[in-house]
Amino acid sequence: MIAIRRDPAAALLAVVAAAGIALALLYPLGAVMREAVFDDRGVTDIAPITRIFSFPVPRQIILNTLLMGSLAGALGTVLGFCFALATTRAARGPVRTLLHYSALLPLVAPPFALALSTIFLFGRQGLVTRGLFGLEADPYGLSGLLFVQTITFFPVAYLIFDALMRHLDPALEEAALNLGASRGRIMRTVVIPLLRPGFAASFLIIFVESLADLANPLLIGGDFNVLASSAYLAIIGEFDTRKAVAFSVVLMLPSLIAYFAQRIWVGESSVVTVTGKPSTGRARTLEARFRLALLALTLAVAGLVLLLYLAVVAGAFTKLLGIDNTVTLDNFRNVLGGIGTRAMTDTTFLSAIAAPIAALSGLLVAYLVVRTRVPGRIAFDYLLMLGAAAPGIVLGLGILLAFNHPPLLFTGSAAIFVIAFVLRTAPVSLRSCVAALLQIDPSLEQASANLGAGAATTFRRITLPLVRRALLSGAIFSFTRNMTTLSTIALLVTPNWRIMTAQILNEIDAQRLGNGAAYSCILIAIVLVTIVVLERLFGRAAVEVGA
Amino acid sequence: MRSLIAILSACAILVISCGGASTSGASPAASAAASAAVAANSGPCGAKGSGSLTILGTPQEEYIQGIAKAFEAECGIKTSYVRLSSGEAVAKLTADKANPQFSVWWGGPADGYIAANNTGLIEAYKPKLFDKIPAQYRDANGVWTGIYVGALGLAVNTKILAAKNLPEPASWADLAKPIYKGQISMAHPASSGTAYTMVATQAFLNNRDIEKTFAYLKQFHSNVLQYQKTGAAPARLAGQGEVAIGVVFSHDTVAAIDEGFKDLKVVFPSEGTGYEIGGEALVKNAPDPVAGKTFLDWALGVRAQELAATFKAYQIPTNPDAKVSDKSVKLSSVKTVTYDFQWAGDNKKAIVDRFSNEVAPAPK
Repeated sequence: MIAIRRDPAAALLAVVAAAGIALALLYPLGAVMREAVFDDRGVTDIAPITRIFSFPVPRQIILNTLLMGSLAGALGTVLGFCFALATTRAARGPVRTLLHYSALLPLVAPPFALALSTIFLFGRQGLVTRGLFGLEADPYGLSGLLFVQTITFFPVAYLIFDALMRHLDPALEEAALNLGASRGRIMRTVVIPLLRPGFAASFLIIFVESLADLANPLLIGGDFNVLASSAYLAIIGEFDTRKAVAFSVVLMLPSLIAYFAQRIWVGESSVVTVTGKPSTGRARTLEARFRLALLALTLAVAGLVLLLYLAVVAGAFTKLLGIDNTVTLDNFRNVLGGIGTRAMTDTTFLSAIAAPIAALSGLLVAYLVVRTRVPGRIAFDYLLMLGAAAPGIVLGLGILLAFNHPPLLFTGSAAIFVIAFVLRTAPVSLRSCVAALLQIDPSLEQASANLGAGAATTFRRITLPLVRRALLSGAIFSFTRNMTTLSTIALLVTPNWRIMTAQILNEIDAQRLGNGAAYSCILIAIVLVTIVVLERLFGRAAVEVGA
Repeated sequence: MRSLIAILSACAILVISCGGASTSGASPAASAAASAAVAANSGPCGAKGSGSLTILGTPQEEYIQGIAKAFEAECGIKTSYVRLSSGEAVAKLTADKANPQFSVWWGGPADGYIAANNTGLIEAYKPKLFDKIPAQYRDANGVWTGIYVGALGLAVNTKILAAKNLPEPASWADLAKPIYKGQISMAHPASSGTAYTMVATQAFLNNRDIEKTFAYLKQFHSNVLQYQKTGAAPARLAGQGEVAIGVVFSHDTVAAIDEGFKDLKVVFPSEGTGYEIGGEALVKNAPDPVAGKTFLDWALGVRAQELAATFKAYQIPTNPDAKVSDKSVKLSSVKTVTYDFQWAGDNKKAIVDRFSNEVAPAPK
């Protein structure tokens, strides 16, 4: 109470955040949870949930899901860390740029484009596995899923580590070096501890993303069944909301546990490195051998990423890649002659509206959590995270159930997609903004307050510029995820608004791979152009502020 | 990096310019058909209602898109569509029940229509040409009316079978043999009407003995690579050689061969195969029932039915006056089971539920 009286701006912020979260997130999720506990006559009945645990097959699905999420989280985090290390410390000039852009490429593509090209290149009839080596590879199952998910999600880790490493003060490492520490020791005892929030955040996010991933288990999972696809099929095939909800409740548990674990691991350890004091020099604390190995690894992965996307482009411009390699524009004609043009403009429009809203929502809640003394502020963090922890398909279903009747009749409107997009991507902005805020010494803001600036002015003039990079990552991530997400909108498609990913899944699932590849190329082009423009407009400024 | 950006932007420009060139022309087949339709102007176009219509369509996309364009050109009703597989369509109608988005559901096996009717998602309407359609191809009360008929078959990739020294499967029983492990593709019966037709066919072959049917399906399941969402996809998966055998409607295999998958051939299982009657129906509480009815009337007309083959939809039209494409598989030339659509529709929920719980997720 005292805190609120002292800080009316924080109180207002808390009220706005609470209202937004309650209406847009808790209400739809509540609609789903009601299905989990009550049957259609309103009688309490949790049989669908207990049924999952009493049969061996659903139990195996649970184990599969956890295994996939943990492995993808670990692999993606390590790979993202390696790329960030390489781009900030090992590579320079064009090599750095090559690594940077190849690490962004998977982020800008719909995930199933990667599943598609994996089948093109490494499938049973794959151009590489069979064509080059005469091997009969079988990507259908856990190995193929992990391959696709690691490459799909490591950019998230890369963006997080990249933002964090740019904010590391080189003076710390120089000091350690001057005190006689070896470069390896500095990495172990200075750099990696400073990056702990990054490790936690990226493992968590990839774990949760992997669990919620729908397209890849459907397209390349083979007989490796996971909870998200089981929930999806229960809804999409049978509209058995109770069964889907049961899978989802089970799916939400590990996501939430992962989140708690991350909170405990990061703890309250101080990771302040932006102190406002000027620092000079450039951090280059890597042993020469290690640096070479790092470059070799990251360049090999970058090559693989480029190869995978070249296969998508090749698939887009040929009749039937691998079967009939005649070069053609037919695929683009099919896509753009049909409803593809509408899908392009609709999806871009909705994604562009949702991205800044998601980034700012994330920042505001991050600020609320890290910087204010509002009672119960931690709850906002946990609640907003529900948007990412809940499987997209259930979020989509909740939105549909909640907003399908008066007074909140939004079905078929643009608002429904914007709500879905924001809920799904604001948590990522939240995490990267929290990580960034934790690195900034509160004394900077206190100094501003001492000099007479109000909370709003301090936020705008001090905090915002310092977290600009994290905010930009959040907005870029939101836009690209909005453009490329499938599970969240799978149940919301209407004739009024066309969503490209839904169209692409249609094409790929029906095995019209050329059309799917052409669609994917267009989608990738839209997102890439947007990112390059955003980086040009805001990225440089953010770097300058940070330096 | 500059060159990367240059390549990507070149790609973008190419995409955009190619889009600009083709938006006016649409897909060549569709626009040719649409202008032919305008010239003929023989379709039975009724009242326009609000002047716009949204279709929930279940056949392959090219077919729905072409039909929607032709209908719009001929009857002057602005038409859009969403394509969903049969199970997905019923799920969507259920989800939207309080606030229906679609006026008509068009295409996909009649079983799905019967299931939808059982939960009050569609309402009876007898289109103008209702009596023209043979009685076995429509519901007597007009709950659904058949627009096409097609037989289930196997899409077999002869090249892959030869390379693997596998015999050509000739029967449903063959598909349960361990030699085909990982070599069969089918859609999931929860989402796909095609796959449900296969499952129901097994029930009819087993005299509706559910236990025996599921004993077979579990063996069959051991050979399935993965379950697709869309019924027609396995034809192309087999065509690409990812699997040797796809369980699909024969007309989808013919379309895939048309598209360039030359190693494919159609095989009809010797025990007898199932078939579909593709239905159409009015959605209950449709946003625009007037335009919806006009569409349902029009879609049974000779012109609309003959258009199908121009979009590589080689089902047999239900209107006896419509010309049958020589690429269509005549039902009379194939050994079929006695397919009871009412039984298949009434039991769809229970059978799909059991398949989802016991068969699809089971280890192999």
